[in-house]
Amino acid sequence: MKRMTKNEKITPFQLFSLIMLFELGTSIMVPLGVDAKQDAWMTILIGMACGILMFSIYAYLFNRYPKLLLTGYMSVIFGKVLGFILGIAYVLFFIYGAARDLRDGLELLALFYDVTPIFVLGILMIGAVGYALFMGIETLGRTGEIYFIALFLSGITWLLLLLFSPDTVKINQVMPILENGWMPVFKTVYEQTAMFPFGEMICFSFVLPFLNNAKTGYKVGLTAILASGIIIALVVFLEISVLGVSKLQMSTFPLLSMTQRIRVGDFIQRLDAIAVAGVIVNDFFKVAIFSYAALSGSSDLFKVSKNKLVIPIVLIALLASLFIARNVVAHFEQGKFALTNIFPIFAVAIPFLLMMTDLIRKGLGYDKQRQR
Amino acid sequence: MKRKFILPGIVIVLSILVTGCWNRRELNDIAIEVAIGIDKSGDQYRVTSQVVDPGEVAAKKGGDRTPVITFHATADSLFESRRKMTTLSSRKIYAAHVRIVVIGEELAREGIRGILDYLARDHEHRPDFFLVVAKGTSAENVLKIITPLEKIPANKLYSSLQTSERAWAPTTSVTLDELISDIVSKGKQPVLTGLEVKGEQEAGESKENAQKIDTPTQLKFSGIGVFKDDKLIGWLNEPESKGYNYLINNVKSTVGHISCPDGGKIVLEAIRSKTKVKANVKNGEPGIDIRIKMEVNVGEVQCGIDLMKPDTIAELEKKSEQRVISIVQQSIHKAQKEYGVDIFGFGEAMHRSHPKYWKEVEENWDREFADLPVQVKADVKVRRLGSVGESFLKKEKE
Repeated sequence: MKRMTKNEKITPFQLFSLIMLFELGTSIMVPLGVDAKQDAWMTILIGMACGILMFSIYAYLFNRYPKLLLTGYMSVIFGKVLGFILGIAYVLFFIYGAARDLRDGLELLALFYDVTPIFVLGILMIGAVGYALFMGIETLGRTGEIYFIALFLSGITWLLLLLFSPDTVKINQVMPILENGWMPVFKTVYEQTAMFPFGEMICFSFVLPFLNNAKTGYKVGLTAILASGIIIALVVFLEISVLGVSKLQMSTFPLLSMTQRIRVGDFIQRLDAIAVAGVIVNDFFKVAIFSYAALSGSSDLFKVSKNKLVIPIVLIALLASLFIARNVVAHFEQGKFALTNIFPIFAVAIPFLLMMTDLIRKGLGYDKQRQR
Repeated sequence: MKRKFILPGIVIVLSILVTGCWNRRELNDIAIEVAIGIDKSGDQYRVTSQVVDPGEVAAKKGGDRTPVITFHATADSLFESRRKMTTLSSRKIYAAHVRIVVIGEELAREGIRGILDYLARDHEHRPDFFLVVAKGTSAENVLKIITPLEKIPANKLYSSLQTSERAWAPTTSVTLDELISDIVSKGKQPVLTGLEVKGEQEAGESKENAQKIDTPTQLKFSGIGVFKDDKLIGWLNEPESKGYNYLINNVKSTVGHISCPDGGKIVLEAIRSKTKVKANVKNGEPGIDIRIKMEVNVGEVQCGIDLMKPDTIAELEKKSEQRVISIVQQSIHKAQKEYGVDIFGFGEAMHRSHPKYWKEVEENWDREFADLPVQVKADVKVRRLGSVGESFLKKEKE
């Protein structure tokens, strides 16, 4: 198996930043878990618990093969042929993920740039992603670090401004809790929040091997999932208490509707432009990491240098994002289908099978020859 | 070699694209709209736009023309009629700075459902404007009145609605989001504040209206309009409107009087007020408990009462409690018996605390509401007496 040739390394904090940006990416701007009405914030916390379980599987595989990518240990565990086929499937899945998230960002921008073709907006966005991929994971990690700190500080400012806006946050709108029992909550977790955004963490099986201190991987991932889950749940909680359930369900991008309500002292207001900028930065990292996973997956499978594959992958992702859906309704509808039918296969089923097979192989003593 | 071309290439392409000139609109190509008026005209909507004349509002200049202009257009839908206005206006109308939307009473009585979606959907509108109903007149007439003090009538309406809400509490500012969620909600019916033209319509339309000391025609907020779903069904008078604001915990400050034991009046100023609405179900019977907590200062004394005695203060507190309770009960009575619609959101309070019971009555909540027993309790504390202790009226008597 091909080892990581370049000596690219990222620090635990850079990994943490990347995971945070990735998890918050698009999930923070779309109405998440609203099928559970005023209990939406709970579905995110439960989804997060599922996310931790899933990440434990990825972390187990990573700890067993700390030097290999997902595509690498798949062909070790499942054998060359099956490993290769599944590898291709994963690459396609990652490109699809990148395309979906790119489209999410474009739809948000199109709300403000209503006459600009989204194709043009797409070129700009994917151009930046392509550039980041050329520079490699180390650069992406450092950029992530800077942006994470910036976004974190502005997020805190945003929260304070929201809380100081008079008559804006009405906590009693989250009542009654569990009006229709637990069923709608679990249904929403299954249909949405477990996979989105937490199941998408599978991408990080392509980033973890670059960690300069492999032992910290699991801990960093876990902390980041917990922190991001709590942040998303808090945002959704605020969305419910600011907008109310009926408005939240009607809204396409509730984070923006909520930001428009910020109004401190009649002069700090209309911050939606700043919120859009922040969300688009998050979205950039999400698209970049999905494309990076596709890129390093395919370069590992076909033994081609990464830089040669950047442009094809980025172009496919751009075109796919434009052609996967005719309009915004079809895009969101397809998202629902993908979350219940496609994501579970790649995020849960295959990694789980990998882990089980690996445990059995270990039990049978297969891996004596390659463990050092 | 390749790199040499890629980087400058990206830079050139980006610098062309990132300038953001795709759909630009220069400031001198747009007409800034500050108020929208919507009326019914047969089956169609008649839309009035109040647009600022920038030359007139500018600090130094300002000549013979009026500071604002109105455009009218009639079409089947709001959006169409607003675009139709371009046949009248030399500039495209830009709606992001709208402060107030006025709905004609006739349209309000027929139902406002049809106009709200457009206001919410178009991304150019920012959802921070207020909606009001033109009481007894059309929205068009209201927007034609020239106002003193503020050059732009829409700004006068916006600030006067906010100021009266804060200092006197007979009006309530309603934003689009609140209105829509009240229409959607089964546990609360919407309200909108009324706006009247006081004086002669004709006189108010010319610039001379603002050139006299005693403005002949004025715009006045008066009372709250009660809606059933999206249709206006009646009005609350001023004390009832104040009661409404007490009930939805929207009183920031207000002034009210109580009578002295031996004739005359004492006026109290509320400086803080908080209302808690609690819904309960006892033996299957619903009920609402209301607790109003207020802090008041003495604002005006017209009788020889001894304010320095703690007993007097206690007496004052008791009397003003009764007064607040009676104001509140008056507006509950009106809503229950005359209009039969829950404008106070008691249904939502029920939904929050007793979701199971709510499921049973949700569908015909307005009928339940009409016979709902409501307990009102008030707790008033007199804090300060103002800059004079004992009134000179007391001294005079001695």
